[in-house]
Amino acid sequence: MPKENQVTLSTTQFTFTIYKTQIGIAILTIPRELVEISGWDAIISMTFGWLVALIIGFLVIHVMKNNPNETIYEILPKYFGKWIGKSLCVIWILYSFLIATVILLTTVDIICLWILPNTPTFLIMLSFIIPIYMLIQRGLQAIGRFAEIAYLITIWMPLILLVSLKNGQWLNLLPVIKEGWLPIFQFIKLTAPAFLGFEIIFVLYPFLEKKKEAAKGFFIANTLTLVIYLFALLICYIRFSQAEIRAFIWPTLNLLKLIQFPFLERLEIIFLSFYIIILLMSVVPYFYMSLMGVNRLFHKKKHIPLLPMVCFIWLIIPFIKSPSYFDVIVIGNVTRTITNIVTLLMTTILYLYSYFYRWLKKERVP
Amino acid sequence: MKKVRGILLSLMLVGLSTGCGDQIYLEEAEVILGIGIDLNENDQLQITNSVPIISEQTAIASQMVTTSSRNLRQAKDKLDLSVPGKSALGKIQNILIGRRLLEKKNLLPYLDVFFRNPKSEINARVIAVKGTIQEVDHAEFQGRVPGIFIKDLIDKSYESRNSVLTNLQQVHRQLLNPESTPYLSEISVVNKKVLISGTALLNRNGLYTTSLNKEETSTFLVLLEDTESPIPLNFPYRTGEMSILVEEAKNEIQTKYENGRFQFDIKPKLKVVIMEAIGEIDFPKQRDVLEQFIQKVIKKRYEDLICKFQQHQIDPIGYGLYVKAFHYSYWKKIKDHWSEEFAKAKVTVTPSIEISNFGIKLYSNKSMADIGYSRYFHAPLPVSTTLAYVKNNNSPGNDVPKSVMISY
Amino acid sequence: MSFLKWFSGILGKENKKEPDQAKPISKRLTQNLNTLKEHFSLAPDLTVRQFQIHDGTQVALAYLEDLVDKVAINDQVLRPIMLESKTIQDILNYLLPIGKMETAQNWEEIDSSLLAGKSILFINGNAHVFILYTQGWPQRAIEESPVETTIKGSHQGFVEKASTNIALIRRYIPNRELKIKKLSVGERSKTTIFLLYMQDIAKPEIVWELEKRIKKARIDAIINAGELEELIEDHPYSIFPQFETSERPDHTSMQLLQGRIAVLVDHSPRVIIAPMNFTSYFQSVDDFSFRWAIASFTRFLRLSAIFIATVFPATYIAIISFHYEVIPMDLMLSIASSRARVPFPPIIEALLMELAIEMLREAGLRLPKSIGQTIGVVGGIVIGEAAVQAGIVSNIMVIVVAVTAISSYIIPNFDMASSIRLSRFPIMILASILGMVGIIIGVTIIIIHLTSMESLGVPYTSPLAPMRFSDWKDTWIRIPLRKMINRPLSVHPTQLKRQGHKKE
Repeated sequence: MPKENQVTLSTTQFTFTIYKTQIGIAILTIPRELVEISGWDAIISMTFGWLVALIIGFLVIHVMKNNPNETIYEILPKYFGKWIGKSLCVIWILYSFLIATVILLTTVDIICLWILPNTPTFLIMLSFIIPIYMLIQRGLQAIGRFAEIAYLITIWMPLILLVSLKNGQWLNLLPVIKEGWLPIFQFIKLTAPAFLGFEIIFVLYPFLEKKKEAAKGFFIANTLTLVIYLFALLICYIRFSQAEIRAFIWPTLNLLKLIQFPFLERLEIIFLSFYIIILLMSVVPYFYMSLMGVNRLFHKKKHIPLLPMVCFIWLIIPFIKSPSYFDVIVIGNVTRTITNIVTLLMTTILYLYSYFYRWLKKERVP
Repeated sequence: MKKVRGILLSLMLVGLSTGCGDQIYLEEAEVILGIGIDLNENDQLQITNSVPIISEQTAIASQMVTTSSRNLRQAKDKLDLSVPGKSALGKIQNILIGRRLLEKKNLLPYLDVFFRNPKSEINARVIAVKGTIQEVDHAEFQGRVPGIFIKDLIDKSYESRNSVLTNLQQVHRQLLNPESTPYLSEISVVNKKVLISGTALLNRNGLYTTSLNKEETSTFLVLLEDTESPIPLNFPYRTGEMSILVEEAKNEIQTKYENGRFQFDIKPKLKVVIMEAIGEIDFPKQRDVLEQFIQKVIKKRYEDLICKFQQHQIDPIGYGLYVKAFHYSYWKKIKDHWSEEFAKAKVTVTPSIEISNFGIKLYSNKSMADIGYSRYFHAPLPVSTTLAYVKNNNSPGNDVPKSVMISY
Repeated sequence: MSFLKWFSGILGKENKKEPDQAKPISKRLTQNLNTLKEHFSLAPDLTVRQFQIHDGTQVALAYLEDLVDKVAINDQVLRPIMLESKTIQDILNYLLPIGKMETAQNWEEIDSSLLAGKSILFINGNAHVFILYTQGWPQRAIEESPVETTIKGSHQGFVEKASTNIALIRRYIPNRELKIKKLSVGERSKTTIFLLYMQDIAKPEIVWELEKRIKKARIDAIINAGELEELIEDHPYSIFPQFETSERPDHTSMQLLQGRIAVLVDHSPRVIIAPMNFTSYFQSVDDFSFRWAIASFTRFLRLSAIFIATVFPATYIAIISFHYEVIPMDLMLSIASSRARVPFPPIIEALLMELAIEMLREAGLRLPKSIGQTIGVVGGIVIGEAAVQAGIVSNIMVIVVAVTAISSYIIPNFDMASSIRLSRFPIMILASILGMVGIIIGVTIIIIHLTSMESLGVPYTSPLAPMRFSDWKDTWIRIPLRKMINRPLSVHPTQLKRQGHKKE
């Protein structure tokens, strides 16, 4: 494992790490969540969500640009002083750890339900934790490289959705702006969080090789994510009617059930199995972000001691209480609220404060 | 570090030894290939499962197990009592629904298990049975597994455009949607043989209303624009007969809302190929005349069919979608009683036909006797078959020609 | 202390007094010869020819009998010295037709030279000796390597003599930028190692790193190149090879021209090539002599072979025991009827057949060539057929195993093929526990392992992660040579453009 200060990420690694962090569980459920507006309206709303994410992301990059060699864990104490800064760091650590846990639990839940209903949850959890452990232990460089390979391995997955377009009903997409613009804007509160994952820039940026290309990389990642979401939305709305989608928890997976090849049927089983790779790539960056925070907070060189501990905690969750769908939903909703608040507030405040801070410095220095 | 890795590995081994309940070895699974749902005389749910018996020989025997139970899931449990393996829902090929159930109860609640269980197959063909499932149960299947036989029958007749193909997901959508009403392919048992008899149409509440015969089904496919393979249409032309293939169909639909009722202008654009013409026709010269004639025929067929839909207050084509797409504000008001609205709607059909080719013969001769027609082509059949259909055209309930159909 | 003494007493024999290597050479011939005999006490092949030449000087020629070229000794050394009537100095200066001659001052050099097949000329009255390069030993003729065969390439393979191998490479690259560094490894064997690289292409840091690692290698003796490989690789615990070993001079030259480094080990016909990337194991020399479309198709076959060889049996297990839904009904029924008689769970069935195939392979390898093939065919057919007849395995399983075996032999590199064959067993076991999920977890773990690996500090999965799109021209497909202007970036060459294209 190369030392942390030697790690450099290429622009493609940067891009794909963000992209893979953004694509998570949302793509499986978002067609249902947007079903009330559905059709073109949902697509428009999604695009607005993309725009919001893009703006916030650029704010993040802007903040990072002023402190090119520091992660969020150095910036916060620098800006806000030792105590406030450190407590903000702790919030950030808990926040990223919470997201990592929620994604992991949801993944376990989905796999349990769709593929292995009778297998002990503990076993599935264990089988996910091993790759997570390996990746985290090998550090940022390995995460970046794995993100690239994960992209290559899973590149066929959105394309396979196209096959299900057969027998689609394009009229389902109409009418456009049926209830006016208000619902479209209201649903941005659902579509913008779907792009979450770009917060990872807060820790990736210092390791980026060509810092000038950060904005470009983020733009590509965000747009790739948008393309995938639009793909899923479009095909779901064309293939299913509004009433149907309302009934399905994971419409995208139901879509896959419809595909039949002469040699292969029931693609959702294969699809979901491959999807584990994508989901792990959402868990790992968040988890890495939180562990890194702990290190920086306590000035430890390696995050190794905490890693097995957390893995162990995760492992015993199924023994205490196997997460049911309702638990996952509840936790998911709480997390969503928290994420909205934390990312939005954190980035905007940081952005504004960075100006204030520079102004403050200028005042003092001369 | 090494210790942690060791712990993880040993935990993995522990997990290994605990085993997992999800293994279901293929040869031990009782894979249900077909399900029949019906009501018996006492209106109790009666469920029939077709399960293949897997053995070393390639010829596969099968068994039908019929149980009366309160729901499908319970039927599966009862099935498990009588077969030596674990019954599995993942490969259901077709779901047969008895006429009695269709007439008495909404189908939708019974389909719940297929959509709730992630392992079940939602591409299964849903087929209405004219009669009882018992009849199908006692029919002969040429020594094949009934589930596979019926699947192949439906698939092949869909390919040759004698029937529609509605899979479980489509039925589910049609039953849930306010925009359209369901249609299913329909089979009947005649002389212990399973035959395609046309299309069954259900109303908004999922109850059986009427059926389409074979000829109407073909027109119905044109209306649905389902021209994956060309659709054959037969009709009398002057003194003779004509048989065409619809290669492309595009129904342009314009909707209006006037005087409290909807108006649909349907402009079908069809590309057709002449397959057979009996009678005196010179194609290059009479092209316009011919096209106009076919236009009339198509217009008549369309209008008849839509008229039938309106009479029964059903909308299997899904015109509701157009209303929803283009008149959303009205749609919101009427979406719960769209079928009634559709019955009131005014529909005009103005087809335009393009004959893309007429084969490799320029004109038809005066009478078939002149050229020894019947010796030329596949000998005696076409005339009698088509005639049989024409005769039966106006009695939809009783439209299967008794034994001609089989040799066809 | 006493314990240590007692301990060393037991091991006392180990500490036998070594001959004083640095002892200077005496001026007296007889004393020197005595010392020599003392050094080579139980060595019957030591020959010392002592005689007097024309001017009366006592000289002696010493060599190890079977390590020298006797013709050269007789004709080019003994004849001039014995017959010419000149002083010894003149003879050495003008009349000794030997290619290379050195003088040595100490015994250490004398000993190692003797052991390397050189002959030593002692002259009475001189405090130094002359080392004559008269090596010559039984040697294999140059022939094609049995492991790496080619259809269109050259049919020369490396031999056991490093200098010959260097000559073979120089024949392909007659360029003075081809630099050769000489090192030696092995406390006892002092095996000569040559580092070959193109100075203007290979990245100096990588050469330096490799040199450092070779120098750091601590081992008694290097018998084979494989041992050195294990000593200098980045991840000795990994199941994947990180360097390539080749017996083909043309392949080695090609790799040198791409900026890689070749390590020649004396008395081993295999050359270590470093640094390597995962994907470069799937290129073969023949790719460049076939038409590009055909070569690309072969590449595609090989890449799909990786997937088949790693996950195909596992997928079979997963489908049979977990996901019967994914195969269409007709196929499902035929597989089910073929499985109906088999009493074992699929994992046992698969392990049984896979292990049988592996054993057959190993048996065929160890037996003489003619019997080896028979064993392969007979074993394959008989075991497969009989097992199916007996109802121990299903027909489909035999097909699966056969397809897997074939695809693992498509992979051109022997080491990589073996690694991939090994990697499928854990995946099979995972598949039997968790089905498709298990397979994906297994593959993910392997991929994480691969991505975190490095070969001499170069990322192992290089053209894929980190993505280098320009290298893909020679990874997935083999584009026409005219378009292949740049050398692969994955090796970090200092000179990117191939020279043929530089002038344009």
